[in-house]
Amino acid sequence: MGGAPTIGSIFAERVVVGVGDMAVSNNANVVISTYALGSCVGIVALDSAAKVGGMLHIMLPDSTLTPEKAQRQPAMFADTGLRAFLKGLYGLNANPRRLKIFLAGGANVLSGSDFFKIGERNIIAVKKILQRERLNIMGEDLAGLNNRTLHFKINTGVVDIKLPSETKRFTLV
Amino acid sequence: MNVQTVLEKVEKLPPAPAVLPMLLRLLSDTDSDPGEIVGYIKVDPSLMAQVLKLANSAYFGGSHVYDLDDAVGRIGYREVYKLVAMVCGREMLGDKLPDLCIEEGQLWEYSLATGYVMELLAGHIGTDISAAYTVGILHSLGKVVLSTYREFDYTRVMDLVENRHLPLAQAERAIYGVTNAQVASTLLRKWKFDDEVTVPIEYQSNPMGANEEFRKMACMLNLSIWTVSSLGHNHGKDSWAFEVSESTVEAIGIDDVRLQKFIIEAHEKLEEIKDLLDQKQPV
Repeated sequence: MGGAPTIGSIFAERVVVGVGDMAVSNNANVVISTYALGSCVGIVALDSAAKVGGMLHIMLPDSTLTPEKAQRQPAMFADTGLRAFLKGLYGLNANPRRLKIFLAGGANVLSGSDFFKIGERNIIAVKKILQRERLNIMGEDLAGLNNRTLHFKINTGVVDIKLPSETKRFTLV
Repeated sequence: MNVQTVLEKVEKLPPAPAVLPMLLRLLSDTDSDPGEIVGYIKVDPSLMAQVLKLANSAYFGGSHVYDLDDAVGRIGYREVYKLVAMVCGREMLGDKLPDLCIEEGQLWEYSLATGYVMELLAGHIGTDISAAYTVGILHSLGKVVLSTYREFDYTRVMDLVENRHLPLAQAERAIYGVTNAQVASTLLRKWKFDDEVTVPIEYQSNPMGANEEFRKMACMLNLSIWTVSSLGHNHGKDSWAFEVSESTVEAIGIDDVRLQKFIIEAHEKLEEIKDLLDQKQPV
């Protein structure tokens, strides 16, 4: 029976998180993906003891830009997005002290003023909120010149970070 | 190496979209004969078939159109022009570019997104929407040409980008003396596109260098490339290897708040288009 698929892999369910969107789950067979993070930042979280994990894909740092949009789509902004994301995780019994976080994205233009460094501003906003909440950032693949795609397996805590010319791996356990 | 040498020696040039420059000229002329516009498209049966197929997609309303006159009557000449540009663009920009790690269809997806963001920006600023869309669709054509030119090695260019943090255009010029933007604009000029298309494309990475008449369109292209990249639609190793300056947004007259709101608007527009084009695979 070598190479036979496991029960978990047969029932693996893929959830795709779009731009300004999020997903949380307590189903260990779920694989959460988000495609083409440009200046956006992807936040991956896992409480391995509770088998609760999730992913958030924020686009801009601050919801005061357009409060009505933030009300309709809170995951678009770092502040309202992280609030909704953590509420969702805690609602599934994730414990903030056990929660491990991985960050990716926030690419920036090679040469330009701060005006255009939305990626950098997204990173600063996300880290500031996570630090305020005393959450544990275990790893990151941030900034630079590349778009990134993320695939996160809740049961193993493995995050695959796909860049144009390579794939990196980080494990959140 | 110079642009003429590249265009003379390259083994395979993209197919010339002969009908596009003529249609663009007719669209900007309010006295043009509508029959002439349809006539140009009808000359090429394959193009006409693909345009009709796309006209029947959910994006353009879903109800069935049987011929080009129907399509024009239902969606208008400007939208028919966009269909023709889509069909031609996909043919020119659909291949993969391995040296830049761009997969099949990715350069086309990026170019189409840039076309729509240019159109959105042109609507806000009040410039020619069809010309803006065309500039967005065709601005990366030079990468396709240079990727197939045997004497041009993008891996060497990317080494310079990655190790010395040079923008792509500067790295291309430093090694080979030509940029993909120069190649695109020269080829498009050869294909009879007017300056309103070729000049902004030539100055896409240095828009303030364009002459005054076309500077705003060049700035719009520079800003659209940045917007599309921010939203993750610019694929490949070179996706962020460009420059953008505050002079660009000053020339367009947009501040930080409006810029961020524009990113949201562009994202929503591109999602809407993607959803509608995905409902049927028209081409």
